Amino acid sequence: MPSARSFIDPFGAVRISRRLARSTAAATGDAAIAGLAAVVETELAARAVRALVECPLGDVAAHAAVRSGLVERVAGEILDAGAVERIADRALATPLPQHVADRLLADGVAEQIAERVLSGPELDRLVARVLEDPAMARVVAQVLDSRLLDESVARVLASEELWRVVEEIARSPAVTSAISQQGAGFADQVAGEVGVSSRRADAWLERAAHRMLHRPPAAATPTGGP
Amino acid sequence: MTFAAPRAPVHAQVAPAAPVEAPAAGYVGLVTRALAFAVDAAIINVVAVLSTAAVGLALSVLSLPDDLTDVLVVLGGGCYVLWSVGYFVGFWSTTGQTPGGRVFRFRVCTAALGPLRLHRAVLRFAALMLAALPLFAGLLPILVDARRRGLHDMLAGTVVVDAGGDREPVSARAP
Repeated sequence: MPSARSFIDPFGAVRISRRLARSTAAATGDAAIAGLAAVVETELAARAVRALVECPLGDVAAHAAVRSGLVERVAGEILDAGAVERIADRALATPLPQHVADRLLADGVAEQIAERVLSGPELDRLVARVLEDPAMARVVAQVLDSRLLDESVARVLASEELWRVVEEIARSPAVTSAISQQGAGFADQVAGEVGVSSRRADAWLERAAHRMLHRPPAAATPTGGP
Repeated sequence: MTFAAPRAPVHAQVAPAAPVEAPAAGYVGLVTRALAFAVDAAIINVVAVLSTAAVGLALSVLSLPDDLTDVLVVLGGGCYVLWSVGYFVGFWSTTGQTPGGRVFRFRVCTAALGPLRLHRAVLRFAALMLAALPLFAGLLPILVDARRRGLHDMLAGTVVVDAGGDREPVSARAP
């Protein structure tokens, strides 16, 4: 039984025209894209893009992208798609990390970082936290209770190197100077005490002499009189 | 001899124009000086004994005639006297302190608190020997003199003052 469509369009003109329009649109699109590609590759297009980016309009567009959260959305899409991981994997597979590490070490960045860490308050806070941690106290107690420490101390005491070091330290000018200063200080103290006692004896003997001679005590100081 | 305490400022009679170093405390008495002298005597005799022992050991390997030995003994005695005199005179005329005086923190100076010259140091030593001859009676004035001077101090024009503590230079004033 013939359909209604065969009565309306017995030669298929509509179908043909649709097919023709579709192919025409596709050809037009291809031509437009080819033309756009040709335009994009031209110097003129590059200048136009540069002018667009450098003009205030570029700033406005950047501000609008930031304000509207477009940047976050794009970044989220990139992260969700795993693009960052892929880029990182590819970068790590190249000599780039070694090169970066070499450059950092050569430029003294490592020293700067170490200096910053040592001089900054972060290290103190970290050390304080570690020392206050009960786990650290337990670890130290375990180490002190262990036989390993006793054996280590015994081995160190039995080693000749230790006594050589002790001998070197004992012979060092700083230590000998400190010991001699202490000895001199002690001798000075003893001499001072003996001097005080002898001066008391001076005064006592003179009082006795003055009493014997019935004379008033004579007292004079080199700075007292004219 | 009278032991009357001379109140007159003897050192002011020879007041120097330049500032002199004055001790913080006063004059030093007999006991302290005797102890310091004992320290000095110990030093002198230890050095003398060690020197004599060294020379004796060296000479023991030589067979010297008796006359020469006697000469060496006399020479050694002379050296001992010279060493003793040089010890006191040297220290008095340089630092004003013998090692004994340094231990007991006093020094010998002129009545004007100035340093002793060599001739004054020699005179003081000679006067000290003189004061010691009559059973050390020449030292007794130290007990009663206002400036604790013995006979040798009076003869040499010296005093013995404290050297310990902080000292500040002061100008001797005119009477």
